[in-house]
Amino acid sequence: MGLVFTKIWQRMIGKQDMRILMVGLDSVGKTTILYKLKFDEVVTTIPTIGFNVETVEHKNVSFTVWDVGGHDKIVAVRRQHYHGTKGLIFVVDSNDHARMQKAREELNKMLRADELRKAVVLVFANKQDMPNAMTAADVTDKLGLNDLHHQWFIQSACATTGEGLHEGLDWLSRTLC
Amino acid sequence: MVIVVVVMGFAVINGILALVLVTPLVVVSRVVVEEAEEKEESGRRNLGSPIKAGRPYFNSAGEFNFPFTAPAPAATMDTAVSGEPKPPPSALELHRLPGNMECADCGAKNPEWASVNHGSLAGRGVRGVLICIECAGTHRSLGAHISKAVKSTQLDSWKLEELQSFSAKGGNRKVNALLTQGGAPPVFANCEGDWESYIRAKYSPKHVPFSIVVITFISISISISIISIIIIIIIIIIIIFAFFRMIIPKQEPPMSGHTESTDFGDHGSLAA
Repeated sequence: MGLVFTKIWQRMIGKQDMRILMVGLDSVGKTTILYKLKFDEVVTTIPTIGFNVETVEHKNVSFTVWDVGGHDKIVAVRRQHYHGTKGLIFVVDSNDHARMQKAREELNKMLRADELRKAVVLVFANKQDMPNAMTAADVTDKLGLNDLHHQWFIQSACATTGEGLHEGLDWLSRTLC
Repeated sequence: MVIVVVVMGFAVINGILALVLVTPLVVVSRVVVEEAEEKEESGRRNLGSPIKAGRPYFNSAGEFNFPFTAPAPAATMDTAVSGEPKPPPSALELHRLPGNMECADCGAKNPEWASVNHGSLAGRGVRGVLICIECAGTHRSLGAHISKAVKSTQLDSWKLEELQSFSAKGGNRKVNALLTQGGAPPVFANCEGDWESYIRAKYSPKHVPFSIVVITFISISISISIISIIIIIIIIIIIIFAFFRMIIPKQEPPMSGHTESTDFGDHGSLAA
């Protein structure tokens, strides 16, 4: 009973904490998204070896976003980040047609993990400013999102302008709170 | 005067026509070259896939599974997988290519990142450089349509055909010989913005080839105009010669005619 009141109280004034894992292939813009959300700045990033973690305040939710590097050997140790993850942000490069299949395999492989059974999935179709960028509908098709058993949402985004990022977080906060 | 104006006008029209005709030709040839490269690439991918279907190139211990220099027949692959000691061929081999001990852009020692580039190198039979992690960051921002892949030689798994293609067509010295004519890296080592614009200008497809294309167009159109002027002048000279040839026989008959007429006159006088 006390717990219910606490939750209601938190919902009314307090900020909720939410652990979010941001993943995707290498060079898709995960770190750029993280720092755009955190500082509203476009930083020149270098490939992430290991991970970056920042807390991002959005409305009344405090997201702890873990941005894990996408290189093959780092992906191998990614599983230790799964525990306690309620939301997964999967970032794809909409301009990289050649690696869409690899992205799909990566997403499916990850969602088979037991820890992520109940996680909701937000897909950012990033780099929409690039020439020949695929639309969110095309990306949905290529990633086979309609076959997923998880709750998912796709948002077209551009990390350098910040377009679509807050809409994505809106969905996460609506779904998870 | 009129002739000169006509000749010049004709030459200019010829030049414009040449531009109109040559432009699509050059553009089409560039597209064809790029498509051929793409096809070659995908062909190699398809060729490689059945042998290596779904197999990791690094095993769980992080060792490279397959020989690098020769395509692996099934038997050697099995022995390699079963863990028999083999010389570990890996992406580290790429460091041995000429110039690969230094970053292709800034000259930093021991670069550990590779960029496979399709921008200004497309159609020239060369691609792929080793760069430092800072420059790798900039290469990633060029977009997947120019920098096809930025991969670590340590942290990423490489497919056999990728390694072979890189070692055959890549290398810092080879690529820099084309892009910078072997020039030394610039000196603005600490300014981030300058580096970014330098790398962007060096690898973006529009920069060098566009100027080359413009110069080619202009030189072709000028040469065609000059050739057409020469041809027209020759034609005019021939016409003038022909004209004189026509006139000279006409001028001669009066002379012979005169003599004849005198003859006739004589005859006439004789007849008379």
